[in-house]
Amino acid sequence: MDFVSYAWVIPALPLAAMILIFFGTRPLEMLARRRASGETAGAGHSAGHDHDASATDAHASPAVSAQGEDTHGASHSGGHSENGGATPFWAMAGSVIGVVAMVLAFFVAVGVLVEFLTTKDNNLIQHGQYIFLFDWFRFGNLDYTIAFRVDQLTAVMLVVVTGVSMLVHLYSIGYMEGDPGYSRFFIELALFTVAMLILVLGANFLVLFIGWELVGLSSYLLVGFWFDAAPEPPGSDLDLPYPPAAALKAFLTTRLGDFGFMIGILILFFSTGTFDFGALNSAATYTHVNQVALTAAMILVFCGAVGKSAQFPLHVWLPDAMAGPTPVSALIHAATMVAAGVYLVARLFPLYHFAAGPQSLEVVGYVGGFTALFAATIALVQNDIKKVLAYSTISQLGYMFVGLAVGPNNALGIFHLFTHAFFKALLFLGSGAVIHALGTQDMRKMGGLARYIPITAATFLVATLSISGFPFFAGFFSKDPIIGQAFDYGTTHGGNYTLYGLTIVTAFLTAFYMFRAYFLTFGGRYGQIAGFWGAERAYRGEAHPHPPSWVMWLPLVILAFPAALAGYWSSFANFLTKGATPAVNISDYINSAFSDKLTLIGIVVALAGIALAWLMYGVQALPAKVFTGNPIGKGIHALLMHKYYMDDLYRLIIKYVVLGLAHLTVLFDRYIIDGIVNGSGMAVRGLGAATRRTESGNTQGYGAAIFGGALIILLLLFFAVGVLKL
Amino acid sequence: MVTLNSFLVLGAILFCIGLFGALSKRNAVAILMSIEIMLNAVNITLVGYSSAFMGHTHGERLTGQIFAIFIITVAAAEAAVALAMIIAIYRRRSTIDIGEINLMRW
Amino acid sequence: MLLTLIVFVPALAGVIVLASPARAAKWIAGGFSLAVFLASMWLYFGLLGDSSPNFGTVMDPQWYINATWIDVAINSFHFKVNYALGADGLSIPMLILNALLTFLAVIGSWHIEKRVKLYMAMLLILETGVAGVFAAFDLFLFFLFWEIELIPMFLLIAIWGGARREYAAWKFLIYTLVGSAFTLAGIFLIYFEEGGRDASFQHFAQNGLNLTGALPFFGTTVSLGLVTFLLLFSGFAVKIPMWPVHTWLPDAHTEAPTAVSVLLAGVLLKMGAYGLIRICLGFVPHGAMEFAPVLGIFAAINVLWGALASMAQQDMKKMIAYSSVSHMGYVLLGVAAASAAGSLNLAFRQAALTGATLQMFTHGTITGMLFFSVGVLYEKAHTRDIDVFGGIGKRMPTLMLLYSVACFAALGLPGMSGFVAEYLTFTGSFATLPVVTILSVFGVVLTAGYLLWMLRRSFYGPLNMKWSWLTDANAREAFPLVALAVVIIFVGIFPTPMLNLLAPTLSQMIHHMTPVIGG
Repeated sequence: MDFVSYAWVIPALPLAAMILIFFGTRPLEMLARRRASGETAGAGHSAGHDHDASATDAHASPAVSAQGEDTHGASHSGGHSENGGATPFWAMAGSVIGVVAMVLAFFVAVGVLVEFLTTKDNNLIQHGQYIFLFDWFRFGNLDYTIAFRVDQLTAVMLVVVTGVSMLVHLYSIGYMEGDPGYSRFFIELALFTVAMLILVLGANFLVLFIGWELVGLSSYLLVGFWFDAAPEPPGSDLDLPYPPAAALKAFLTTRLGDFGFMIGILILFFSTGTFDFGALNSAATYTHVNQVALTAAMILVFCGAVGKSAQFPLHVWLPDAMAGPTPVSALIHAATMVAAGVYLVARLFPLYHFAAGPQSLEVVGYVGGFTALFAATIALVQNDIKKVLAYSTISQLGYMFVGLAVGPNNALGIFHLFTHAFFKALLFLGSGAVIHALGTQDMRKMGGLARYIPITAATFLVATLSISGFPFFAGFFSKDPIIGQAFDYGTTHGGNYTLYGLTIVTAFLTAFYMFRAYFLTFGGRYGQIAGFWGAERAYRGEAHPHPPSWVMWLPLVILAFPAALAGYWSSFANFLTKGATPAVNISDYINSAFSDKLTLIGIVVALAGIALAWLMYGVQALPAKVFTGNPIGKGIHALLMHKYYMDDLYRLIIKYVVLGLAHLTVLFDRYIIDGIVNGSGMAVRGLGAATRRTESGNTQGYGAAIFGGALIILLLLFFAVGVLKL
Repeated sequence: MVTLNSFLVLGAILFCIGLFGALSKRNAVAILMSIEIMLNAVNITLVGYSSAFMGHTHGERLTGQIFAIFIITVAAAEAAVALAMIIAIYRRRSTIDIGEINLMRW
Repeated sequence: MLLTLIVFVPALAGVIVLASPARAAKWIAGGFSLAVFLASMWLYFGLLGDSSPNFGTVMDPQWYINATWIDVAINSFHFKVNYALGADGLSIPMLILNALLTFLAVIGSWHIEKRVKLYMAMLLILETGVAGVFAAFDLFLFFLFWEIELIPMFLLIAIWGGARREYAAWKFLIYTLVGSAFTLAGIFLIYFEEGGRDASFQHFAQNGLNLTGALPFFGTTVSLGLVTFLLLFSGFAVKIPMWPVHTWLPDAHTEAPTAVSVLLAGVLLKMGAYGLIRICLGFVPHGAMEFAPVLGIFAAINVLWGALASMAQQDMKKMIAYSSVSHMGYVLLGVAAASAAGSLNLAFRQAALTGATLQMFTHGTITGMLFFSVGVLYEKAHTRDIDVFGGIGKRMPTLMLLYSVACFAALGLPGMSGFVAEYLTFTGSFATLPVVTILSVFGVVLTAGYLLWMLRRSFYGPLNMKWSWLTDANAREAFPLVALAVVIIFVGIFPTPMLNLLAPTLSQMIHHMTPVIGG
């Protein structure tokens, strides 16, 4: 079956689901709720105007009461678990529609990938399939076309997006159960999926940018999903983000990156006259293009990626974006949307690699490498389980950029994107299960949870091993080649091993902080298997953990397979580069992974990180005080706890520079411009007030003026002008 | 010999007297009378010029006189209207002091 | 004939409203404005009948009607005004927008109690004035309608406005009159420079290229084209409004009643932009070319200034008013880029100009929606202060949804018409005015900042219990919002019909200018 030509069905399915829920089940749900409230409340709710409001009250009241005692993350999850109300029938119907649509979309996406894997059609392999939808407009030779193109890169992304999205949809049925915004959640989730699919399917910058901005919108909406939440009470040290503020921050920070992105697009469009990736990626387009402009354009385009993929210095929004529901964090802020920046660079890889100057990829690499280390260091000290994962995401995205920068093609970065999507989604969904079970996301109130929620713990462990680069797991096969390639890159670039150093240190830190999180959550002292499988005694919290329902653990189990095994796609590079790199069979692939001594160094580093975490948090033989006890360690700890004071810096800039300028413009308008305007009005009035005094109403005065004036004119004519002579 | 100059000097003197009266008198009737004097000064000037310069035929020499008669007629009508107004003002405000009639004041 | 009806039926309806009982006023006004809206839709659909729809150019207007009105000839002095109405790709969207917004304004004014007959009559007479501006094909007729529109607008602000309504109304009136005095001078200048026999648009469009002379000016000379351009532009710049003659706008918007703000931002500002494109650009390309770099700088200032000033506002309406300044900057940018000198692909110019023209339409709908949203809130809460609210989204989910749609449309989110316009403008103008365009693109970031920050402060967060009694928008209040949202999203996703409508006119304009500005 010709799946590729019908790839447009993939975004159409969630779109249809979104429309169905928005106009179909959600109004029905509201009607049902209104009828119910009308029956019970009677006159009290006669108007029935605020179905949503009355429902959110029910949600908010535990939130308000929870504020005093606990954190506000607890209030969210506590809110909807204690709320306990079953999901209304029509809301449930809406979510089922969403899941069904995503299953179908996933099926089509897999069909597309399989078709690409099996096709013998060389044209399809080399150029992909172009799907024209409609033209906005054509001006002379400039096209503003809405079109999709499916090629190998897109096919991989389609599977990742639809797959993770499908599982997150399913998971959310459990996680969001009874939430008053249940239907809204699924609408926004479907909106995100549509936007992300448009982004990866786009055949040109126009379509990509549409998707790019729409995922930003859905990210905004979903981060701010609990828009009516109360801000964190002062005194809490967990620094939980406040959803409305976090949503705003996420949108604005990425928009700042998009500013550069847009200018990059403008330069490219001006230079080449096209938005189409096919044309942009062919070298022939650049025969007359200024190399410097092109390099600048590519760096500017990368700015967009920096914003979207939360790279330094625009990384600040992603940790705050954890204010959204955890399934959202899994889908948007781990697996798919934040990877859009990586996708963007990969999509334009020929441009970066061949057309633009080498500086463009260097920028990509160094920003990525620095961010990887930078974020990893912050992740070391976080107590919020979602924050750890957020910083880890930033760090791993940095790896992907390094992979793109040092690689001979885009396969290294995209392969890590591919594996990372699964294990990071798994980590987030796992953490969601923990939060759902406990009502807190503070790791200091966890511990030993493997006894209570074993499925979650097991799958979380798989993902943790994978991300740490433990041999035979997916992350190992995608991350170690990047580190190795970074070393080769150093060799070929005059012995500059900066990138290698950054990545290898980060690998150590990654293994450490991920296992720290694992031990703090699921393991701990007194546990079995040397603390890997925690015990009841290790549990530090008060709430009784309850195991997740099947809709929540099933996605975890499903995800555990690709999280462990996705690395064994040995011919990934061959597939993605359209056969430009040789195909590798699986045994050679594994052999080569272990024969390289660089890889062995990577394994050792990862194991060292795991070991240190085990010592500190698993068996707790090495207290953290060893590091934080001395003044230097204390200072570093404070620096890391404050995230290098980046947030405070931005806050100051916004408060004093941006708002200062804003107030200056207003003052200028009020006092200078309006001063002139009102001043000229005043001047005219003043002049009138002065001159009207002459109109005394005394006719004799007028007469005197007339004759006096006539006399003066006469005299002037006689003497001054000399028109008349006596 | 009554020359043109005599006419003009008489006219000018009368005009100045009238002007002085019109500008300085407080009584509206006196002002009206002063204006009449000014009109007559103009009449004298017109008649003087007419007899001195205008054409050679009898009819042509009469142009100025005709003007003067027009002015006298109009002045009579004007005096009637003006006196009526003054009476009306007096009835309303019990004064014909021009200094107190300043409705047109800014 | 259709155009005559569209222009004069509203005024007639205004008279009927005045003559009928007060309780029927809203219904009569609503009925007539709906009829006029449907008629103006026919302007578009009536032309689609052909296999190749011809939306007309300035040389070949559709629905054209031309009759001599004033014709005075004294020796070489010839003063001629024709009653000439026509429509082309530039004016049809504006006429439709005007009719649509007036109709929605009537619905949005349903709550008006004070002197309702006069209010409705003024709205309808305003519609006549504005429609006349967009339909006139004679320069003097254009100016006549331009001035007619002031009277109802002045009264609408001065009678039904807020606390400082008289100041605002006078400021609006005097600002506009001072500007249009220069415009009138410009009209006379171009009329007599171009032969002084014919004031039809076709005449100027054809002969505008001849304005190449120089005028003595204090010992030096200035180009005749530039002088004519600047004189004509003065009035338009006030209306657009261009920095630094923009300060009437925040006051007028803040004081005017909701529906009047909608019309003010929706169509009255477009009169300025329409004049700029149709008259300044179309008739005086030399002047436009010479002024283009400066106009570009003003455009960037407009965009950034408006955005920054919006950020500092406490009053929602004032914020939206400043956002209008910012968004009209994109129109200026597109026009400046289209007319800037330089030899390059004409398509870039056309993209810029198309973007600017689309921005005119789209800003009308988006800002209309924003003002209607604030209006709904203000009617209930009697305040527009952003910070006194808090968490009211919980009480007003429908309004929050629609308000958010409007905000996202305004900040140029794809899928909504603002994005199409901005994207076209930017991609087109970068070719001729790169630096200015980059500065303007930054406005997009700021726009997102102030709009979403406003939403956050008013609608998000825990509910401020002071507002627990607020009720959500009802169907009557939501109707204008939904109608505009449909237009915005339709144009945002599928702008093709709209852009095809603009294409012939703008293409003709660009090609016509080519000999002057290079191509």
